[in-house]
Amino acid sequence: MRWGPRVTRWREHPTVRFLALALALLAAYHGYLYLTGPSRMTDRLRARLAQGPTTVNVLVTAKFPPEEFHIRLLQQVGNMRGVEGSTAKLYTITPANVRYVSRHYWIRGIDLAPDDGRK
Amino acid sequence: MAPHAPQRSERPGEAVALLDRALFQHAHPRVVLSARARRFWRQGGIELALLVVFILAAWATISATIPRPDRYLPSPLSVLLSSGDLLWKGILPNYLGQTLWRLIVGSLIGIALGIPFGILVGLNRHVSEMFYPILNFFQSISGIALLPILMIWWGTTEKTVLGVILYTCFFPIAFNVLTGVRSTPRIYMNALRTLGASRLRIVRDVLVPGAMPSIATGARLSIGYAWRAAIAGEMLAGRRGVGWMIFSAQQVDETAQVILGMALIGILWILLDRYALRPIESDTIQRWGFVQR
Amino acid sequence: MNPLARLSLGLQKRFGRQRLRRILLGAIPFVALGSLWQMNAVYGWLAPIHIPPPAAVWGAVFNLQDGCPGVIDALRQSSGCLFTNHILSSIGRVGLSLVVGLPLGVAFGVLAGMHRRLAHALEPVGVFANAISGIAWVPLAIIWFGVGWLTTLFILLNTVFWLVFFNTLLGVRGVPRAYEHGVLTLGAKRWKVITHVYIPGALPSIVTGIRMSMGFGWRALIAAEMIGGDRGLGFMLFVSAQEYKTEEVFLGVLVIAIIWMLTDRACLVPLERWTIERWGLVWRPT
Repeated sequence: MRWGPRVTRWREHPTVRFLALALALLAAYHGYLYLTGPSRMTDRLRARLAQGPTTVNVLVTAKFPPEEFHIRLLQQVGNMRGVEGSTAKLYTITPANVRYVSRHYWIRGIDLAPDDGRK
Repeated sequence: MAPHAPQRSERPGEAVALLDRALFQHAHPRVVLSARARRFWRQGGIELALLVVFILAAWATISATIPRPDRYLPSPLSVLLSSGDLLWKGILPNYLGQTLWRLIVGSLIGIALGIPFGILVGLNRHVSEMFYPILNFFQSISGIALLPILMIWWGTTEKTVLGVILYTCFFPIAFNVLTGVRSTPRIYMNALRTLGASRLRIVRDVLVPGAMPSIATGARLSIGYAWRAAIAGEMLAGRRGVGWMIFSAQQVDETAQVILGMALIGILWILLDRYALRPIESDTIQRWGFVQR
Repeated sequence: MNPLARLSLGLQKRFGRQRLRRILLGAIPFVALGSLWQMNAVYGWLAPIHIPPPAAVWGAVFNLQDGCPGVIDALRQSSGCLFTNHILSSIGRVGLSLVVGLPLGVAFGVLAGMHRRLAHALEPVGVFANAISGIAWVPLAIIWFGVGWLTTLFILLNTVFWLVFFNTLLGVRGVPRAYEHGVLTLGAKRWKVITHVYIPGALPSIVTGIRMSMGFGWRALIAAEMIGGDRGLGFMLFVSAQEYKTEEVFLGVLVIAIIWMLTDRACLVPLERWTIERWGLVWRPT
């Protein structure tokens, strides 16, 4: 094993350290979002998703009244059918996209819409 | 404290010695500082901190005295609050991520295209002299000036902004690599040829290492230009990102967001330049710089 | 000797053989590109909306200048001469910012650089101000000054000032103190120290700063005119792009490139050569 000066120098290089730190922070951030994703879905929704439907209708509750940015984001994954207070009605959204939406930290919760099942 | 501040000298060791002497002149030193603190003091860190405080105070005073501060110059506090608000709503990380993504993808492709181009063109004296003026010409058309053409071709899609970033990024590094390859001393190439090296061997063993400092400098320049082009492209082509954020905030008179965006742009560039790009450049020059004249 | 050989010899004697060779070689890609362009117009590989024919680009000059009574009115920027209006606006702003921003930047830079500790402290400020690229100032400028010539002038002045200030600061700081002390011991007053020590000593950095600020400033001007201007080359580009008049956009791009190449080759490089290379402050390999 060569523990010569070159090998140690490479690891201590400022750019390598900076990029490693940036990547670590990014990984931690995304990891946290990934892990807390399911906790934002209600039990009802999770039960429904476990049945493996093609699309579901959900109610997305943010921690504040959604703004243009959030509505735009939600519209990209499903049919927006109106906003009441902090809750947006999102219809015909695939389970994969439901999981994608759940991984945003500004979401308080995602619930199954009362009129789910009707296409 | 020290009777008079030590002069800044070229060699850090000497300056530290001066500072040591100044601080520990007395038999019982009144202050014992760590090496980091000494460096901070020596390089004017206290002045910088005072200056920052002064600037913030002046900013707050101006914004408190002008009419309609939230339109013309929001106070530092409101800028901070607005940043907290944007973070809380998840807007800021998203926009930052998009801009950085565009920057990274665009500049990596541009650099990956520029380096081989520069080396290939630099190999032959006649070819390089042939391409020099037209590369110069295309470099004077900045990426921003190209943006309207790309908008006619491709509309306001992601491709437009990436195209602008790529274009902006390509020429500085192609130029620098070209110059680097051309200025590698011929004696090294001749030496290898007398030893019977093939053309490919010469490229690999003489030209590429000889061009390394230019590659590093060119990459740094390119990414700098690409950063500006990314911001401008977002503003004009309407793709979401930090540039778009400050542009749309201006349209609804949210000056706090504008100032926040500007500060973010400055901080991001400083971080990127100082901790990622400059170390590579200085390290490459240290390591390969001996090939230069 | 036949006339062709005599012409060739005459040209070589006048311009220098290597220089002639370089000019001819360098012209080849332009000729190739130009002929490709013309062939595209004839054969129609790409639609005219994507790549307009050269004749249309040339014709756009006259289209834009339609309604221009004459040269005097063009210089006075009367409303019919769109093409010259835009060019003169942009160039005029560059000139104005040079006249105002350069002296300010140099003055502040010298003042700040004279005091060592202050220079140390102000350097990060300069770094930060330069890191906020000129274009990022545009929305703030629009909020303060509205859409118009004041915004574009401000952006240009801003870019020029900070770059020249920062470079002057670094330059003055790098002047060896021995020179300053020498001149002071000979009984010079502060003003003489500035003009005889600081400014000549910092001249390489100042000239580099001028060159960089012109480059960045020109780009920032075009971008600012696109976003928040009401006249100028950038504005012309943007408006023509919105109306899908590709020949005008091409014309604008060509004019921008030509102006920058002329400025750089005809003004800035000779300036560098005249000041710092002549005084031996910079070594340039031939």
